Amino acid sequence: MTDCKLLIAGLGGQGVVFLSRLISQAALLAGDDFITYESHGMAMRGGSVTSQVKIGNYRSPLIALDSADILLVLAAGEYKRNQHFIRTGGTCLVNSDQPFADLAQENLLEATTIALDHNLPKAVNLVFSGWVAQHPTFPYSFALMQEAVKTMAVSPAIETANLKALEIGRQQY
Amino acid sequence: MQQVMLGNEAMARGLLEKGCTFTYAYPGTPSSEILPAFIEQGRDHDLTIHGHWSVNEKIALESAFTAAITGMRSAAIMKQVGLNVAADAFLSSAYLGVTGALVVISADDPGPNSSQTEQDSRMFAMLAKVPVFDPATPQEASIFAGRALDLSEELGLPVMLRPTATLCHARQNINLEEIPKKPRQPEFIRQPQRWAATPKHRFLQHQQLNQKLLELAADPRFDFATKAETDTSAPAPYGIIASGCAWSLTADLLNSLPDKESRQFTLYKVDLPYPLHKNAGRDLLKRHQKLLVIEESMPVIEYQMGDQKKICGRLDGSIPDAGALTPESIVSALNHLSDNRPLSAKDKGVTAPPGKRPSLCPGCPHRSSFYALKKALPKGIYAGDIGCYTLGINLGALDSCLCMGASISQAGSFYQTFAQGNEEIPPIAAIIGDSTFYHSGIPALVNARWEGSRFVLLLVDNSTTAMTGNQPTPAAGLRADGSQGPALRLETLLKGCGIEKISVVDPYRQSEMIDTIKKAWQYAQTPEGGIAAVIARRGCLMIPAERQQLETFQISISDDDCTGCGYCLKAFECPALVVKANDPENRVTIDQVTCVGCGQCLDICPQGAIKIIEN
Repeated sequence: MTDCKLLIAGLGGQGVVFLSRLISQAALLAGDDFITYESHGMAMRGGSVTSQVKIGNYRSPLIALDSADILLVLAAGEYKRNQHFIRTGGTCLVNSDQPFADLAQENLLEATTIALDHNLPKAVNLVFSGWVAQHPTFPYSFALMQEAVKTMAVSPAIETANLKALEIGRQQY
Repeated sequence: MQQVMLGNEAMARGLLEKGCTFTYAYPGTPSSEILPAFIEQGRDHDLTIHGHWSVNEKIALESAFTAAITGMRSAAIMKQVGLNVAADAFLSSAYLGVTGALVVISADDPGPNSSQTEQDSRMFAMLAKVPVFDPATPQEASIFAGRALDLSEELGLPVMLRPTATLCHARQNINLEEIPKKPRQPEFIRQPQRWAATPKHRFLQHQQLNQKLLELAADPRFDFATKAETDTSAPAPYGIIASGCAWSLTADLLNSLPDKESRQFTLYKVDLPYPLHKNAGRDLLKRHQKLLVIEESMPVIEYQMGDQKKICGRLDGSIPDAGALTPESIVSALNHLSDNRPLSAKDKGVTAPPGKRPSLCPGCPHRSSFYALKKALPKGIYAGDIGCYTLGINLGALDSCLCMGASISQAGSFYQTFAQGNEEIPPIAAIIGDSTFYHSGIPALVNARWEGSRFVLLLVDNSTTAMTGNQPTPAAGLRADGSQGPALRLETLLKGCGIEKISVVDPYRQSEMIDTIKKAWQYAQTPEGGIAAVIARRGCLMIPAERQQLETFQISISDDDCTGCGYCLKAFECPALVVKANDPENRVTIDQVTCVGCGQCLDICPQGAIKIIEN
């Protein structure tokens, strides 16, 4: 049974909620229990947003400070606000074109630039997740994330586009 | 069978599984997804159900109540501040009772994340003398929705189900039960002495209500205290009493502690915080040295516990008395309880930088309306209201926001107060959205017109309830289930409220918009004037059809022309206008990912640096 607490941070409209649903879909396919929390309402209007995903035997979706196993950040500006959630030895992966003094370069991906280069401006989150899925501490395989993308797609066109973005992300690792 | 569901969807499922066929709601975060899920799941199962977006929460509750006195099972759904609007109906319904079942779902927003207050609907239930369930997980919310229906019918009383935002927007795998297909037949038994009770009968009804609550407080099904008596081991020194999401958070925290520490505590889960089971005070106070009550967001259980000397919680400051419960504040309270460590309510001194504040979406017509309002009435008082356009505060175009519909009452009263003084009356504008106008703006407008107030009524009509996820409004007549009703046009309603000067403008036509608002204020001041309505009409771009119809431009900012003055950022605050990274002059550029190409920023720049790219 997987046990993993993930915090996903970004700005409203970036697909933070979608990413948390994608990961919980993977958890579902893996047969793991999970509970997640999504921001809604006023917080969605471009402001700071976090989603939390707790995989394992949990009742509350809320993650305590110093306890997240993985922190995924879609907007570089949100890293500093959320870094306190990561536990000692946890993994922090950030979409950023700027370096951070306390993060190794291998923990950063210029997902926005890459998505724009491929003319996929709305798929930054998927490019990012393709890369994230390759990371050894991420609980699920790339193949499982592909399956999750397929089950969530509402149309064949969206499925193709999303799988393509995921693959572009994978190649960045 | 299992299905992954949002807490809100799980509650809708729970209602359907226990035969609820009527739901009435007004959208409001965090409750908005319940009604659409009810309709969608009902349709998937081919059920004969009725789900409707009422014009406001009071009407929703009155409608659901009426279904429940014809023997049907119904639900009224709202956010916590919506319950304030529905309060009159809510308190009265407790005396009258029901013959079918009535569940009032009132979703709380501790934090607050998207509300005016952090009020606790359970406190409201206590005021109304209505039993209230507090579910801890989406799965439990589904079950409790059904239990609430059953208990309502059994007692003949309305019952509240109180989720909090953490639960409404949590997602997990939900066990699905059968949904009954056999519809009930409505039956209204005429009993005017009950359904139209006079004060004399109200007194008797109050006594009956009290009796039912006494019996419920002794009901073994809700006895969370005595259950543990079968446990023969020595009691833990400290008892923790928790309900709802406060319980689930505490349970997770206790599970994460080493055994040595967690053995100090026994955690009790309260399903029904009001009326609190009578054994709680008696048994638990005897069993433990001290008790800690953890609940959101007010001390409802704590007030009912009796002997306050042994009890910690919100009343003695162990739990902070404002803000959403955090794992850190609970850990702090546990440490204080067991080791007498000082409370560190402020989360471990973390100094997280402030987050990015929410702002109107790129291309939002409200932004253009606010820009025009400031240009037209620069010294004005802007009375605002509840909706996306509350974000006009970022643009310096909103001076007040009290509650739903208050913009009109406040604009009217600003006028009356200044009219009493000797100074010149400043320009006054009320800014209200279409959905909020239908909700509670109409009585306020009748009042303001009657009172003789003078102001500009800026009706920002984006033809939807945007903030909560684009629910339809009566303007187009489209209903929650997709059926078409009569369109109740704003112009007609304004005329009916006695407004004689009504202009309709497209907020994207900025100069026309500015001119219209100026003229409206001039008219308002004339002897025959009063209230001049300006309907700023353009659909919300979150509606796909509106987005498709949008005429778009590729916009760019010339580095040579931009002086980095920051005027566009402050005056227009579009998320697509961003400061260039690592630019010593702080020049602004267009974020092509977020820009929708509406072209509304083209005339904003004092230097004329924002341009259409010639391709």
